[in-house]
Amino acid sequence: VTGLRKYAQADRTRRCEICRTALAGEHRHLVALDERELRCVCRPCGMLFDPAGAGGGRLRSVPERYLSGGPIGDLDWDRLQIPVLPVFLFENSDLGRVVACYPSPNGVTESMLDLDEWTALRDRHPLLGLPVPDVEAIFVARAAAIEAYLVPIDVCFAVAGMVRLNWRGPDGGETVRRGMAELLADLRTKSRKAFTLKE
Amino acid sequence: VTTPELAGERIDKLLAELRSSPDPQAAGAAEELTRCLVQLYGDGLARITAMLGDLRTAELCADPLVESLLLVHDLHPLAAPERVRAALERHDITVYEVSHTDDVVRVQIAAGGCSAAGRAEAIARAAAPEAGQVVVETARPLLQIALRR
Repeated sequence: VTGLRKYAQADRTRRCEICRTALAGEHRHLVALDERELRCVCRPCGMLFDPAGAGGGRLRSVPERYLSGGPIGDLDWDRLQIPVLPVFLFENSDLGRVVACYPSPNGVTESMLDLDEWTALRDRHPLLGLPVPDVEAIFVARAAAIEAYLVPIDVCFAVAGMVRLNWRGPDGGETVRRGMAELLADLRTKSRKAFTLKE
Repeated sequence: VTTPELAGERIDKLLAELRSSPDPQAAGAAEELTRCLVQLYGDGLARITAMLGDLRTAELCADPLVESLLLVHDLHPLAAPERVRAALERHDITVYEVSHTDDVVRVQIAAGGCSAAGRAEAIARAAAPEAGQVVVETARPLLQIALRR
């Protein structure tokens, strides 16, 4: 594309939403606390808004760590009375409490959460106490057992988008099932153990 | 008289200067500003051509500046092959066939001097800027008649 034509067409290159440089493939995300939205940013801007970075404030960089704890026993989990899995839980610093959300065909839906039971579960599973508020979440899904991972919160947005776009029929259908299985496999390989278990 | 080509070159040059300036973000902002203005005028031209209809718009294309502005915004009433043929014939190039498929404009012209194909390609490219690729083939005329001097 030459001359004025390139300015006459909409700019489709994805750009860093802070400094406007073009984003090549992999990039980072900021959580904009005021809008509760993700912003795509380049690596240098991502660093600027790291918790220890210079930016701070209402834009927070989403960390890139993945952690796993042990499985959560069914009985333990059932006391939370969350009817749906997978679910992700994160601390919303504006509300000052932990929020439980599950992906659904209608987008992200909040589930009621008994905070006392959550605190009790967190005491038995220290992984649940590790996420940085607003930017990290605990993702809980059921495979053979109930598995919990500490994930960057953009992963939860991605899952929510995948479910919303691909949901078919009463149970989500093949694409959603496959997407979930792939995500779990991905989390298992990416995450490292948060704690070495003591006998 | 300015043309879209000259204006485009001037803008590219200014943006390149900004990009190598100490504040590269300024280049991004300037590019977006350019986009914003060009697209606003493009939207306006789209309204105007829609109200005029293809015939009246085609008449306006007799003015080279108007024609090239409409090309910038993909608003030219004639299809690419017709435009390419007309432009080449204006330059006294004999055109056998012009096709436009899969983003490629293919032109068949009569064999001319050494620079004929290159010149034809530049003309065709300018007449069909939306094409990703312009291919010029020179075809021998069916009958070759050599002049004996």
